Amino acid sequence: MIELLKNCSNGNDVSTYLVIRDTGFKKIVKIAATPVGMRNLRREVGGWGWYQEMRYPKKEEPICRIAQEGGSFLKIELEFMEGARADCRKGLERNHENIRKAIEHYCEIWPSFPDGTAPLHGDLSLDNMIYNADGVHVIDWEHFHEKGAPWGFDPLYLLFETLFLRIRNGKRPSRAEVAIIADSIGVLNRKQELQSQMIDHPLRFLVEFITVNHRLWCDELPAFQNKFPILTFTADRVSSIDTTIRARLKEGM
Amino acid sequence: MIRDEIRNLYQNIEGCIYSTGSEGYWSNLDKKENEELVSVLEHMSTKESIEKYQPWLSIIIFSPKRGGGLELLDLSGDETCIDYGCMWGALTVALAKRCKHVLGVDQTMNSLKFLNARIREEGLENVDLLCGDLREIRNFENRFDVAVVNGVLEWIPENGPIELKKYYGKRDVKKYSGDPREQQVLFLRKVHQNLNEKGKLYLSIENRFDFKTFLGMKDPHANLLFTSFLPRKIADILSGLILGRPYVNWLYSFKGIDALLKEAGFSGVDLYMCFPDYRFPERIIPYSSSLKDFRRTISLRNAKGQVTIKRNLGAVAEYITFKILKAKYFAPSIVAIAYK
Ligand SMILES: Nc1ncnc2c1ncn2[C@@H]1O[C@H](COP(=O)(O)OP(=O)(O)O)[C@@H](O)[C@H]1O
Ligand SMILES: [Mg+2]
Repeated sequence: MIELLKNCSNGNDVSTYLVIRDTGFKKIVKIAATPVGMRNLRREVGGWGWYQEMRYPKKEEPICRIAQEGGSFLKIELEFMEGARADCRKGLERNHENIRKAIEHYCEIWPSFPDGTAPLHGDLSLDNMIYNADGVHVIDWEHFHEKGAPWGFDPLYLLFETLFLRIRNGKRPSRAEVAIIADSIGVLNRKQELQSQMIDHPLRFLVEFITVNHRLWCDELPAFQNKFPILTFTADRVSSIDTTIRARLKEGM
Repeated sequence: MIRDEIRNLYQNIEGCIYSTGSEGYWSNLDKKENEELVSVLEHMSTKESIEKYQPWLSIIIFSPKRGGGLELLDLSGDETCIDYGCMWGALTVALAKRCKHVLGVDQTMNSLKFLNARIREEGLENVDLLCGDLREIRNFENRFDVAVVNGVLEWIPENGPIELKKYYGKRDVKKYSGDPREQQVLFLRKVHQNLNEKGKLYLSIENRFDFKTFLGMKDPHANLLFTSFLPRKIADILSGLILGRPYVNWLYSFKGIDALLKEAGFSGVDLYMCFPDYRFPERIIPYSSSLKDFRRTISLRNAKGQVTIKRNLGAVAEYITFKILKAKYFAPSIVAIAYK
């Protein structure tokens, strides 16, 4: 039995399938037939290779492998991860525990290079996290870069992506939401000293980093704005959100 | 080899196009528009000519989303395929990128000329195109591993040239001979014969009972209200009154498609629900599975990026029908994988 789960969403040119054999064995298959899609899948293979080494060092078989390769076609297969998914639409507050676990996971797995950079997942959202008895499992490595962004970028992205869904229609972040973000930044900073901009104005840092380095994700920024909703915040909005977070961080210090 | 057979039997027109001599016409474009589009291909790429003359066709022709269902065929890469009614080749190209050889068949020469240029641009060397009537095509007895009939079965009972914009929902007094279903079965029998022992058919078509047609979406083939699901006789009367011709673009339910394919000789059929439609599938789910983790597939925004009331209503209706009521019978489109 096979099921199409996702088809070229956000212009990634990748189709994702769930295959279930009669024995109950499950696997994920991803295919691409355009240069963009094939590049994304190659990154996915690379990302899984890195993550497997860090997260499942004892495991011998690759979690992700190339199944079929042609001049203009690529198919990869992935081990299926059983577990629960968080509902990102529930926002930060009701996902507090999931967010906490994800940030802890990042601190545990992600190394920091001497220059302060770290491997980049590039789409670390609650949608791409699976939770089970063995903890957190990160999936969807299509944007992986071995040495991409400052250490801490991915979890900041996670926090603001989750926040965005609750406040996109002009609402202000609640006190509790601000607290979760500030506390998470505190946790990250204790693990590994963050760049000062990531503490002083974290959202502006995110928006600027993505805008300047959009090539890490996609060749053309405009096509990409759907993928990165936080880029739709106005500069005023960004600055007011940053101010409340900074205030809260000062309180905590 | 199919390729040698085609080359020996038919006249080469240009590139990889061969002709059976029985050209016809079916296109979303008028003859004049099609002529214009093809005439500039000497000094323009296919993408440029579409952007210039028919930008609305860009995603219909080039989007990689179009081929999202082909993985259901469990392809190994060694297959010899035939795409019946290939038109501009959204699926022909998708198949060619991952299979051994594809024969695209279509009655409209200018669609094939466009596709021929596109195939050259893509650097594909494993495609041949045959211009001719699908119903009259010669017997390729047991030669193909894969057959594709994508959005074509409902047009099989038609006759005469069709310039869709002048035809769809427009009055055009016409007579037909024979029963539409009989003609569809006859065509599917040929498809069946041309497959080898392990051959598979990929068939996609709108569901006769698509939930949207009950909510006022017009029949996608006749542009009339309710014709797809009304009893055929009543649809005939309606179509006769408004369009001057009987209603022949018959669609089927899941059970109906299964019965049609079995009658045409197929031994087994896997049915799938396809959302939001088979042209641009977002989710394809086995008909036998539950809709437990169904997610909305109708986007709230239209092609221009605006949130519209119609879209919102569609999305709510989709959610209620499938997420809450789990009424699989009303899924928008059907994909069937049929086994020889
Ligand atoms: N290894 C996996 N285990 C379980 N489910 C997976 C796995 N990989 C992908 N999926 C499922 O497929 C969906 C889409 O895959 P993902 O890698 O997130 O691609 P996309 O870039 O389209 O979001 C996921 O949301 C998840 O439901
Ligand atoms: Mg994902």
